[in-house]
Amino acid sequence: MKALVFHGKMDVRVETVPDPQLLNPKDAIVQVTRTAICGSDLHLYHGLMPALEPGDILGHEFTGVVLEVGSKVRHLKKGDRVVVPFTISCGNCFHCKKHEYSLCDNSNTNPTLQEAAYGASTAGLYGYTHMLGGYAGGQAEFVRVPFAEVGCLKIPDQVSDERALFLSDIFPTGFQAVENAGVGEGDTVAVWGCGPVGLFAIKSAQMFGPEKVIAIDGVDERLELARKIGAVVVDYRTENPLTRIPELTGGRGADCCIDAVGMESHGFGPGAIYDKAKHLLRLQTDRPNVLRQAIQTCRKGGTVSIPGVYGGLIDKLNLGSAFGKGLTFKMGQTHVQKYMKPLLEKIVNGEIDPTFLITHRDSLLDAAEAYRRFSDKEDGCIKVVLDPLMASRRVLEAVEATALPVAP
Amino acid sequence: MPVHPGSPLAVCYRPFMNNENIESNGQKSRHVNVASWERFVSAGAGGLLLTKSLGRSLPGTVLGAALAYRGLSGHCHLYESLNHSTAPEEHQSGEVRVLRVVTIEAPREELFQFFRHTPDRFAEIMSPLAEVTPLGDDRYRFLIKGPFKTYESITRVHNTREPESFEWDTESGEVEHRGSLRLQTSPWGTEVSVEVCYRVPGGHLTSALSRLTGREPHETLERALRQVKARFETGEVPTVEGQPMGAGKQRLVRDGATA
Repeated sequence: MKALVFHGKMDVRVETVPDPQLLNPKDAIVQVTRTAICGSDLHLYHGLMPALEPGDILGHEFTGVVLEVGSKVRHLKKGDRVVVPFTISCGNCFHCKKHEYSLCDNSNTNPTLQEAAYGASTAGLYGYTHMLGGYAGGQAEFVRVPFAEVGCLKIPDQVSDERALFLSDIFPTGFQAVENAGVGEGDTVAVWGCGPVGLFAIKSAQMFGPEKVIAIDGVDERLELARKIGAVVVDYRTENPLTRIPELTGGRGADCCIDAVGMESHGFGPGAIYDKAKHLLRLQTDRPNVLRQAIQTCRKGGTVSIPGVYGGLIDKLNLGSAFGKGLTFKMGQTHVQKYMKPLLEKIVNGEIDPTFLITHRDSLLDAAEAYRRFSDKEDGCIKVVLDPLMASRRVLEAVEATALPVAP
Repeated sequence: MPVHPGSPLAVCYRPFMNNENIESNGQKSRHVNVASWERFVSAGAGGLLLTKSLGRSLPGTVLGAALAYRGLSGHCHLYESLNHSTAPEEHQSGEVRVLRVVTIEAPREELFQFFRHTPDRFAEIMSPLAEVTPLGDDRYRFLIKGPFKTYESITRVHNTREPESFEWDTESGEVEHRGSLRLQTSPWGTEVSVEVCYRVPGGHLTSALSRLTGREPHETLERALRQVKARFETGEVPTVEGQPMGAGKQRLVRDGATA
């Protein structure tokens, strides 16, 4: 099969690799129908995550059709259309039973590696380093889905693959961020980062009746899209969020602050330069510029919610401000399985069409170029969806178009 | 390492030898009393000084040689005269002690049955540390791979207290080896603690080398217990063995195989 393979920093290639096979009784093999590039894939692409090896297949957002199931899979069968959450969860452990699926005790095949770094191991993820299980990812024609009954949600007939695709990660991630932030009626919500997760956080926040959603970014097309879906935008290139957010909130600060940027924040001013320098010298792994702003502009007693990925150590965190203002922090990988069904209902009901942020549709064969374009924020790129069958579909169309009429 | 009386470590902390034994064995003058990082710095600085001063400066050569000796041997005479040590206890005694605790959501009786009454299971849980063959009658042959040779010992399981614990001990062989497995019921399931202690000929140097060669006993025991946990809680052991990978990794694997 064809798959997108990591070779090194800023070097990913589509190449032919062996097809996946069932390895355990609860596995399924899924033929991928749509797969997306996530903002967090860029952390891998930029070589910032430890324990990623050349040869690893990336990708953790995908839909597909079940091709084959293991002997212990009862509720799935060949031909089922499914969307697969990026968190691999056993469904039986202490955490899975509490619906904390991303904290699964059993799905990480390399628990000792993560325990050494984090003090505990969490769920395995598709295509997201050997610290998180080393599972082959979904930017491929076929994927092996472990614990398939917990790891596949059937897509109803009336929902297209593309509309179901973002249930695998970014929609639940944006939604959990809002739930973690405790957004309620009349609240002011500030969202840093208008990438896909930030945009879904804005959309999700609006479901809870806030007074205002403020969106902070520095990329034109992202700000434009955030404005279009109803946010008040702050362009950090021209306005300082540290003064602008108090202005927009009657001097109180935002009730709920959401850092949908994570470890690679850009930002502005001396703090950003300091972070960049330390990052380049490898004195810190993560740049917490956005997190500092979120803490600084959160109202007293407010909540900071962090869906953006952090991987290691940060430096000069204004914890004094957070302590002084009595802030609450909530963060972590998304418990995707917990949110998939209720959010699918919202899609079925027409409350939201998740495809609003797709800017590019490419063949899987062009995935390497798509990564580069997404990384460079070129060509207005916000969200790329890859279609493994696009190439063959094009060939069929071409054949049909050029075929000579057959004589009767 | 100091063990708090109330800590889970205290339950099964039984080192073979304390420091008096080492002294009575006449090894006191050579025991390790310098921490690893300090040895590294000493050896590096000593080596550098030695190459710079050799044949040019006698004091430099002597100091360089002394530092290099301190680094390589791990023994500092000054520390000894001050009765001071920066090395962890396990390095001082040359003993490797591993304790791992994991909570498994399964009844204690079932787990006891699994670990104790199936000889192959005991061999399996020990397999990351040694190649274990059941000999029948609660005796097992342990083959422990060191960096230079493989050591053999015969181990016997004894002191079984069903369904809470059992112990094992070396009956004969070159490697002193003993351990215990304890099961305790808690609101979260059964707490399984496995402790393994062994002393190989060559002591600390061998254990340091076995770490360098990638057989870190803490990790391997942890991995084995986690696999048992997954098997009991999910019915299978998660794996990526045999999944597809790209050319980059195949190349690495091939290089490794031919190297």
